[in-house]
Amino acid sequence: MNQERCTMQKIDFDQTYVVSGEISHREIEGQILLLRPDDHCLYTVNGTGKFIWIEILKRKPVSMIAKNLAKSFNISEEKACKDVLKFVRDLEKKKIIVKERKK
Amino acid sequence: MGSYDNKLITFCARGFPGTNRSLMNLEKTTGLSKHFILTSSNQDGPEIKFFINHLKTKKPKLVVFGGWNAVYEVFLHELKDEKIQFGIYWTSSPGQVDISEEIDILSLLIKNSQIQHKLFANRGLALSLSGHISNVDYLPDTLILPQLNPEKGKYGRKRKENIIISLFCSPFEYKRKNILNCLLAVSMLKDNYILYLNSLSKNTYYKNILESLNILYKDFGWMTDKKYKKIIEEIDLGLQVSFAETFNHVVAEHIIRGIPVITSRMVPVMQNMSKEIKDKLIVDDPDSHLEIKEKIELLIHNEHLRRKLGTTMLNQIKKENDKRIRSAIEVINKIMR
Repeated sequence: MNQERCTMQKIDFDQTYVVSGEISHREIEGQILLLRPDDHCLYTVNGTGKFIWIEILKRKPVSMIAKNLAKSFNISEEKACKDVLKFVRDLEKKKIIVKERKK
Repeated sequence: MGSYDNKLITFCARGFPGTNRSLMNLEKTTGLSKHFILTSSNQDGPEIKFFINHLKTKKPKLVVFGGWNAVYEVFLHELKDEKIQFGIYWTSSPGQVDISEEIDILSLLIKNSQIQHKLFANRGLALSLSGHISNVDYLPDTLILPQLNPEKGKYGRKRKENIIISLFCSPFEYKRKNILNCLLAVSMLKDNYILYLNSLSKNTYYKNILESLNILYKDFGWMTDKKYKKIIEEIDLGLQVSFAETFNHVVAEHIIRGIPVITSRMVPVMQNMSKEIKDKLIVDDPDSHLEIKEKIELLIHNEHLRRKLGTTMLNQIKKENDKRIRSAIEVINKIMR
């Protein structure tokens, strides 16, 4: 992964994330379903989002997730990187995931 | 989340916007419940499975369903061995039950022994049934009042070319919303206006009527909550001259923004308003488009009156809302004991 090719800034590519304690989540019939405490509806995650989510649960760093996404979906690493960053930022903004503290 | 912290969980199918609004408001105003909207009607779908698992984990004391939908039966079946009580929250008034042909559902629900708590938003219906059926309670609608100042709001802006009149209702409610009389009334106006709609023109028959009557309208279709709140701020006058109602959140959402609404006597949110408000805004005969038109004209020709009535209504509904919240908290405390 060439980090310089990613246009999005201010991200630690070695960062891993964990699901926030307040989030209920399950995989049902191939879909990832998420429930935030303040929301009234479920979030459904499919496709590449599901792939990224499972990688997050495995505590893989952002760079590794992007690399695996590119390989699995046969897309460029640059595109995979952008997709992962967008997804991760969205989940972080919604407080669904939080940065894992480095030991 | 309030002191019950997931002890009272409410669900409502997406097709009931008013009931969903009531239960979302209940969550915010009392802090004693948590509400979820069921977006899928698939009884075997992942959403239902998720929530059934969620309830098995959270183990709430009481689950209340808004209105009735076939997907609720899955919850009752799948959770029958759990220590969870069930209830319904019925928002339709008796007149609305008949007009909307809901009597078959209501008659079955009040006899269903698996549903221990029967909560009604209509006080009269609750009081009448409670004399014959156990665990019937009146659970009033409550409102979330936005932090707005109508004095500094819409009337402070530059004068608009057109008066904006709203006629909002769900497509499932056309029968009782007195649409044709309202359209006839609006079509007779000589003033510049735009009628704001939220999907009425998607109905072929009403679209034909709107065009035949040369009504200038703008139809926003279904709106997200954010968009709805933005659009409602643009409105000068609302129309809700219904034949039957329970609470009418559309009226309430206009009032809490200081926007006057012309209604029928059937709109409960107007019942505790002052005589002046009732005289100016309530139509005696909802089946008279001429009377509706007169009321509209009085208001669109007098911005000062609109502002005064809007402010008065807002102050009155604030007091009324405090009582409703206290009453709702009392009822929840009672049934959760």
